[in-house]
Amino acid sequence: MEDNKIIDLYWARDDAAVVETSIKYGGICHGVAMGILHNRQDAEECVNDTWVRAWQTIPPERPNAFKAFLCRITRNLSIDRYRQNQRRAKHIDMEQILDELAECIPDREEVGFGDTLNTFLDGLEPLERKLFLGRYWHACSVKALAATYGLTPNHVSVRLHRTREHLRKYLTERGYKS
Amino acid sequence: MTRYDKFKALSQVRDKYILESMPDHLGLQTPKRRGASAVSRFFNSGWGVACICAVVALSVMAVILRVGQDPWGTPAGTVDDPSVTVTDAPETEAESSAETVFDPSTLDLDTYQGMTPDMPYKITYLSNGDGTCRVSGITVNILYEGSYTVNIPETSPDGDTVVGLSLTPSYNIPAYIPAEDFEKIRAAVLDFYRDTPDQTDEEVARNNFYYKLFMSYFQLKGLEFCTNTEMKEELLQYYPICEYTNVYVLDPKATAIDLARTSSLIALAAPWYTAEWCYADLLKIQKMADEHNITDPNVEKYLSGHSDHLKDAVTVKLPKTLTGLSVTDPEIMLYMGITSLTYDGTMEEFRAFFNMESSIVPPSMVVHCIDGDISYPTNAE
Repeated sequence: MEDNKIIDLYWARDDAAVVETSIKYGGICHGVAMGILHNRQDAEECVNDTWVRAWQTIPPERPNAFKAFLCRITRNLSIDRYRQNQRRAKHIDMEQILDELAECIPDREEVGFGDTLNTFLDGLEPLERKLFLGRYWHACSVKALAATYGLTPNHVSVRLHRTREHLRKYLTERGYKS
Repeated sequence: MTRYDKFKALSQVRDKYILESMPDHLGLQTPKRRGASAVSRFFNSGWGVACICAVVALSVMAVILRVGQDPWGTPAGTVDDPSVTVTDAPETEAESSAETVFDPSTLDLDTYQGMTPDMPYKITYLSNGDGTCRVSGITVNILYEGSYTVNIPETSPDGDTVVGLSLTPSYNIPAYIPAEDFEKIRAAVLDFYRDTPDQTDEEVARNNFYYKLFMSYFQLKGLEFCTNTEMKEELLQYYPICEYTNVYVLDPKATAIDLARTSSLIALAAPWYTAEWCYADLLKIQKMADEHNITDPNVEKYLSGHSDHLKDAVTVKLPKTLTGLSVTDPEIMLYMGITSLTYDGTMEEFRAFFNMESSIVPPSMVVHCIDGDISYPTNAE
């Protein structure tokens, strides 16, 4: 079913909205959650919570990019859950992602940060951008990125390092302090 | 910001960049290859879809029949057979729970919408200013015993000709309730969805979803959840009673359909939570506010919207003079308990002036219901 029709179902408060969303995007959302949580049960919970959140949010919202909208919800819910799981062993790769990102993102969230970030991404080469977001948005492993884009893991790591440095300097020049 | 907040800050990335670097491109696998969530697999399976369709169909039928079926789907692991026809009215007596028996005599009837015990219902008219009027509300006395017919006369007490009926429903939902009282309802709903032995993963996932959906309509407010002074001050400004008790507040964004489903679920999972209880919970907060000499504006707000709730087995008889019918939503109208809506003219005439404001329920379904021939149309979508 097309996204706008699914969204119409949400607006009509029709249960079928959840069914159709799950059929179409259940796998992708599960992938997003698994990338962060590395735990099937937790990922399922997050995907389930994503449907609830979508149900709560639409209406009044009518997302333009439904897929991105759902993935964004899943990602935020997943990182919240990852954070709450204090007693569970942290996943090494996720910890690495968080540490790497912390180096270049400012300590205080300033108004307009989103715009600045998007302007930075606008200026990146497509491959740099895909690697950066693949790693820090979708929480993919360096190995998976290397396999996807036909690069060596070392090559991916170096390019990610350069992009992070680039972002750190870009933000510093604009008054953001990390 | 913590590391986690920094990670979340990246959520502000443009949609097109998220899509550009989407899992498809990154090799994240599809449910079949990597094990989708239980809900996904349930929905993806033919059985799951069929089952859900059956549940939706049954739910809609239940709403029409007002037989008390779960509006969000029967708990997984119980009845999902589309061939099941339910005809009995629901048991909504408080007898099932000794602990929660409510004594209606404790209600102050003088303050209950101006109703007295011998008055089964009250009709509210709204004049059009041209010698005609419309019925804008039918308040049913929750303490009145027995079924009856609401006869809408052709003229109002002021002599206006009744030409329209426009009803806005209200629901038996704890809109503003002390947290400890809501916990009983929450526990009942939880049991309703989870207290079924030998549930499969899919059933558990589905039931979890419906439970969370139910809970998502209620917000817990309390000083203990405020992390700074500003938040506390803001909370007390809007919910002054929170100084003395935590409360659950109904999400103001909940739509009419959400409210109807929530109300129906409560009726099914916690049948002891009657309109009397709902009203008493509001009065409880009112009493608490009075004791502490504070004014809580929410009590009055929720009390005023509390009672336009028609009981089961109430028949509404429309006058011949009626030329227009308007309800907030036809499904809600049916849910409200107008199990029979009769009209002296022909059905064709009725259909001609029936003003549908929502397309959620096909007009044919409403007509079926009014005609007394209830069936779920297969072409409902």
